[in-house]
Parts: sequence; structure tokens; C-alpha cells
Amino acid sequence: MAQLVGVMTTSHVPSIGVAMDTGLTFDPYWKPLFDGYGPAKDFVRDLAPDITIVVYNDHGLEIFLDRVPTFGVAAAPEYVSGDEGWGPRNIPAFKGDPAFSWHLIEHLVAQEFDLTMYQELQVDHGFTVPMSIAFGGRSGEIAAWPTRVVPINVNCIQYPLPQPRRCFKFGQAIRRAIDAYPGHERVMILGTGGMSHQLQGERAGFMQPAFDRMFLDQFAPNPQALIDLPLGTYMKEAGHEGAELIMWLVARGAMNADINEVYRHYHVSASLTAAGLGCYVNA
Amino acid sequence: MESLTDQIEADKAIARTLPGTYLFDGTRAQMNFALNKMGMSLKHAANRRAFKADERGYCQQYGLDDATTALVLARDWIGMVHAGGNIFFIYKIASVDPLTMQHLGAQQNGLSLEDFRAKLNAYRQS
Repeated sequence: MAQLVGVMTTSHVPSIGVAMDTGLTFDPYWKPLFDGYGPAKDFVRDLAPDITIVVYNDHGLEIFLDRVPTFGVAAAPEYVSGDEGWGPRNIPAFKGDPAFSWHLIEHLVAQEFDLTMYQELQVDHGFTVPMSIAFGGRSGEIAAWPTRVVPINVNCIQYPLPQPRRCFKFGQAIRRAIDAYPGHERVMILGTGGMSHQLQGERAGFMQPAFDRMFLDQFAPNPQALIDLPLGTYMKEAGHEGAELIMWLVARGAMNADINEVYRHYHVSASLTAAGLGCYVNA
Repeated sequence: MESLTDQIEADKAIARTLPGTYLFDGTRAQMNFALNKMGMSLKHAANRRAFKADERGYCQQYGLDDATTALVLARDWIGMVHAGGNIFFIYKIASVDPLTMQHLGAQQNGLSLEDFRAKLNAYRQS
């Protein structure tokens, strides 16, 4: 059967992608953030995943307010970086794995997660920035992605968002699906978004490092404490957009109860966002 | 036992007490659909060119009311948020100029870009 070999979680700020794409990773403002990514790249290289499931939210590339799927799983043969309004990122296309994606879809719907299914999907910074952090060089440079991908999107734009508890259960269902896959693929999950940030309103620029550190401290040993927090609390403590942390809980739900934190990096800030990253394996 | 409605309202109530925060729920999603749809349209380069060529006409084409059109022409970000704009869709308007999210953050706070950056950097001490 396929095996979940590890999880990486990271913020997915667009300006991190811009910093990579315009050669700013040694710039004094960005250097401390990118210095901290090195060990995560080593972690991912050693995991050598055949398939990477990327849990992210679309920010108005493919999903508008005319129809907003709560959870969606893509099953395309290829995904490209789309134009969000400032041009697509100049990065290689991502190879999909339709057979694995359809297996996930079948096994998630059978567990009563009624998904939106995609056969064509462009991906935005929420997907591409974490992939560049995980697999690219210092500046995200990469000739070809060494992994096939499955984009899974979670609505983080229009309330009601899925509850933290539901996101965790979604992760548990993803894990059962991985375990039931008849291949021998090594699977990694990238949980993306957060940490504390707010972009809208007079409160724009709000961050809360104390909450982020609590979240990182509880993530491995005590996810229940994070699942029990209401979404309103995430908005209060992590900002209206910081509620994206629910996507980290999808990744956590897919892991064993006991996990080991291999690496952690936290930096304030990447533009308006407190940037966090974690690397985890099952105990 | 707390009713489901109470639970939902309790969650939203937390967000509603937050200063300078506009919970983007169904109420707000209906407020100015046209503005957000116009913003979304700017993901296409050809539309960005059309917008630049005639901003007012482009806004009219998407059915924006006069007050909202004035907010767009003035790049009044906090005004657009108050009028039902979603930050991710109005950010595409900003990208035409191009302005960064820091510009939008500064203007929404009523600060200069320099002062807003200083506010962000102050979190490094916490």
C-alpha cells in the first residue's frame, strides 16, 4: 500500500514567491526567512515523495464567489501556475497522478466527504509557493518537479469556512485513502496557509506571534487543543485571513496520533504575514 | 443545551467584535457582487488592458454603481472593503497599477507606507 512518509506545513504568502522569482532571497529583509528554509528542503529531499498532496486555498484564480466549493480534489494530468492578476509564475508545470487522485476522490466520498472534482485546474500562489519552498533551490529554482501532485483546495475565502474539527477529520479520511491505495507510492502532504495575518480592514497588518507559537507548540503533541478552538477564535487570535491555519489541521489529521517534529521555522514577517513552517513524521 | 443557531452566532459574534474586521460571510458576499466580479475579471491580461484604457467605462460594463466606481477610480481600498469588496478580488485592481498588499494595508490603516512597514516590523520584537 501507499505510505504517508511525512508532512510539511508552511505559509504561502505571494511575496515569498516574488522574492524567489526576483532573486531577493539574500536581501537583508528576506534573508532570515530563506535561511530557515534550508533544513526543510533537506527533509523533503530525504522523504523523496512520489506524490505530494497540497492542501491549499484558491485566492481568486479558479474560484470566484459565484460558486465556492468547501473541499475540492483535482485529478488532472497536469497543473500550471495561473495568472492571478500579475502574471503567472515562470515555473515548470506540475505532473498530476489522475489514478491516485480518482482513488482519493472515491475513498473520500465513500467516507461522506462530498467533494468538488476537477479535471482542469490552474494553481495559484497558495499551491506554488509551498512547492517552491519544499522542492526548489534557495530561489525556488527547479528544472522539473521531482514529484507528482494532487491539489486539494479548502474554502478559506467566504464564510462559513469548514470547522477546524471537520478539517482534521478530512485529514483522517485522506489518510485512510492513502493507506488503501494498492501502489507502493511514498506520499507527502503539504499543509499550507497562515500563520497569523489579516489583509482586510483597518486591522490589516495584525499578527500575533504568541498565538502562532502556541499553535506550533500544540500542533504535534496536542492537536485536540487546536481542533477545539472555534473559527471565531482563529479570526480573533490569528486574523481574518489567519484562519487558513485550518489547512494545517487537514495535514495533522492525516498523521498518526503520535508524531515527531523534525524541524520548525518561524519568522515575523513576510510582508503582512507571520511565516511559519514545520516538518513532521509519524512516530 | 446550546442550539445550533446559537453556536453559529457565537462564532460570528467573536468576529463581529473585532475592530476593523469585516467577516466575509453571506451578507457581505451579497453586498457588492459586481465589484468583486470586476476585480476577478482582471486575472485576464486583455481585461487589464481594457481596464487601464477606460477605467470608468470598464466599471460600468461590470454594473458597478456610481459610488463604487468612484471608490475604484480613487483606489480607496478601505472604502471598497466597507462597500463589500473582498480583499483578494480588489487586490487584482491594485495589481494593475501595480500596488502591493503593503500599499493596501497602509491605506486601510490610514498610514504612510513607511509607517505601516514600521508597524509590521515592530512585530519582530514580540
